[in-house]
Amino acid sequence: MSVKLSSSDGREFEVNMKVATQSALIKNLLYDLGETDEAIPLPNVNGNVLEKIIEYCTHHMDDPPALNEEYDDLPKRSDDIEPWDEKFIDVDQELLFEILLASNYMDIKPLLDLGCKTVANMIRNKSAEEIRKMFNIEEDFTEEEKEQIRRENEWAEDR
Amino acid sequence: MFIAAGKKRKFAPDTRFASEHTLLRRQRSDVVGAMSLVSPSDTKETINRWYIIGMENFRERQYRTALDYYNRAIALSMNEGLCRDARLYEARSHVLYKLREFVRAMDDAKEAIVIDAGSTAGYTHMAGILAATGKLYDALAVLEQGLCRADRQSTGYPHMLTLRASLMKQLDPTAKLPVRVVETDPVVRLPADLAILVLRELNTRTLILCRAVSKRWLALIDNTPVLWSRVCFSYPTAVSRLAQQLPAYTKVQKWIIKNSSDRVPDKILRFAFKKAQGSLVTAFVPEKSVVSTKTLDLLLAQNRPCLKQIDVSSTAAINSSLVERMLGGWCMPTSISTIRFPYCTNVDNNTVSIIARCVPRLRILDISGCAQVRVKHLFKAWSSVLADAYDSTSIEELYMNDHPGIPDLLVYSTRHCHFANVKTLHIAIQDQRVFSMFSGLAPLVEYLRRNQNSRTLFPRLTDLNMNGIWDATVASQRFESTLLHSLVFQCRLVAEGLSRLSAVDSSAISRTQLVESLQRCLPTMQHLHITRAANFDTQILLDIVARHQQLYFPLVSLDLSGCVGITAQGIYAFISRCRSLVYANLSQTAANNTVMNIFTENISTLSLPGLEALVIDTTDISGAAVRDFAAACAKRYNSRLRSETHVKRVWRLQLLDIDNCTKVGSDAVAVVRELLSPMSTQVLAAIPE
Repeated sequence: MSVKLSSSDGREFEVNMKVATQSALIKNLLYDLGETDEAIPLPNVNGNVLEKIIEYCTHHMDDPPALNEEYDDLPKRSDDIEPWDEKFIDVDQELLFEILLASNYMDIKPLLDLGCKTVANMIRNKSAEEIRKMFNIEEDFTEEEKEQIRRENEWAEDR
Repeated sequence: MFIAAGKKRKFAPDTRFASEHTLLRRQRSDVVGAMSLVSPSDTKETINRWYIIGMENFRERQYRTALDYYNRAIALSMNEGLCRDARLYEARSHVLYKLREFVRAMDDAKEAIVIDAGSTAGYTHMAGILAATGKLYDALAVLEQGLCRADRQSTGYPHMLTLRASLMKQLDPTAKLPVRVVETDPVVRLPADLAILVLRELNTRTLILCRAVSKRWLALIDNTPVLWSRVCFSYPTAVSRLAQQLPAYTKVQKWIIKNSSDRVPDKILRFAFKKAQGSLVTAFVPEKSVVSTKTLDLLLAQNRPCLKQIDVSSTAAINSSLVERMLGGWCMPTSISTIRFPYCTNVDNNTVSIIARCVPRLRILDISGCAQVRVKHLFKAWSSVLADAYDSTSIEELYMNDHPGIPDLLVYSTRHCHFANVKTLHIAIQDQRVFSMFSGLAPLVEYLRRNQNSRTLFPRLTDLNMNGIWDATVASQRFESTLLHSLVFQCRLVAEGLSRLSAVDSSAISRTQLVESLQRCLPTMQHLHITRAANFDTQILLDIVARHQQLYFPLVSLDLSGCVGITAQGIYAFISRCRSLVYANLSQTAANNTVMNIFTENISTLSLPGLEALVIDTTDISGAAVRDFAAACAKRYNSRLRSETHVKRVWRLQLLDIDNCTKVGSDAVAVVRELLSPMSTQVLAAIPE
């Protein structure tokens, strides 16, 4: 059994039901609408991104449902990303952000987690200067502000 | 400076080797000759000459040689403390790019840009590297940045323009002109709720650093209390997990101490508590940090309705009145599930009464080392909130390490069911002075003997930690400790259903005690740590193995280090029945090659979980056995990487300790290191790297 999805730029994808329903958005839609032959429009997701997301969902088609861990907002380990996922998410920063946005919109929790973890890993163990360099951010503090933050951050910095 | 010195040392002896490429040799001896003559004023010239030689080699496509010269030039300029030259980094980046070492090439290109913001070659190389790794948008972003900053007159400028044009063609062959400007700042690019999700992955220290990135970052971080709700200063690492699994393995403790964060200043804690506002979930003060009354006051200054856990260790500032203010006022006591006050000297009976009164549904209580708390009072305090004396509290985890009331707890529990729901009980003794606080044990033992009943004290117990209770170094000196042994034994704590038993340093545990304990609980045991047990002999293991004909033991982590009474045969018989082992410590045992072969076999069976840490520094292991083991590990690792099948957890061997294996020669160690290097296993061996 399959479902049709259509991206913002009008591309249509026909995917297995099991692949599509990993997105809670689509799952709920199908539940509400019943089965349909029409393509489900995803106006916030463009074709390239959707293709990538389908690739992810196809790989994780047979995963057991994620457990709701009690302490799931503890800091995560950085080294527990599966090799396949790591390769999958090693993409352009721009595409990475697009995937994050789309997985949020389509409500695919494991992919959202993976994306957040990947961005967090880019930030981890870097100084503010390095973070600015990496994301191409301009420093917009005045001298006084800089001085105040420096005083507040002193301990975290000199280690 | 450090690297530079190392590099220099490496080059110098090269002149001796006649097998080197002749051209190279001539140039090197020339260079070394030059180096010995170098006077400060000549240094610049030497660097320049090396740079030019490097360029020549580059043009002749002798990339390795060129790299060698650039390395030297950079090393020398660093050594001499000259101001850094962007040219050298640009050149090295280019040659690394040609050698397809993209990561290092990227570093050098970035370095060049740091030194000279207008380094056209730096931007070009960086964009080239990004494009080569398929990141076209990033490449374009870098070029745009470069075009803004670089001088239009510079020679590299047209080159950048060409590269940009070709990139744009690749991205979108139809479009004539750019291309939307790509926003690369996650805090701007992502909506706030997503940016918060990203930042939530970071610990408090990183969060503090991120405040200094830009105004947008600062505002988002400072105004999102959720980010500060759990104060935490370390990421769980592979090493800390290892330490949890092999608590008796002292080397890993040393790494942790070496790598552990220093104490967190009071000021930072205060800052975090303040930012968390009402969303604080854990009031946590890391070990070694001294928290001031001012900070605790701030903690109390506002309502904390989400608070679930209070975790303050070894702080004298915690006392009854403060606890009363905490639990009585500013949080919903019903939502609190954990209270930990280990080694807080001022916690007393009164504090316990307040806890019992305010938080009757507490799940986890830690009063390790709080010598002022009387166990009698502990029972009394909870009696008053329970429906009747035969009811049980909801406490599931009780930590009473180093507590003088351990015997009382056990004896009282035979009469009252207060702690019948306890699943985790820790009564380890690290501080041996505690033994001297046990007094009047004889009547208790006598009482237990007369009132022998079959009821298990803690029917739900799954995790029991009694490290140090059977330590013989005290037993020989103190009468009380011997009494404690029989008392603990009579309570029959080790029962069916136990999945985790830790009895580190159990030199005085007797044979009967071992037989009874192990036979009852081994079928369910997942973590077994009995170390230095002198009375643990082969026969015990053989009997157990013989009794449980049918099954494999579900052991995940096993530590039998220092149990010298067990022969290789016993270990072999036992280990061959433990197929799901992930962590094993068999140091100072009689384990030999046959045992090693079982591990090798298990590693080769892909359906088994696979050993991740093995400590087996015993003298009977041969080089060949260790080599086979490493080969099996390498094979397993490679097959997992190659297989397209679903991999849920990344298997790798994390630790192999063959430190005292005198029969393992340096050649074998070298082979093992080589085999295990792809999965970056920590290999500890007497022969250093």
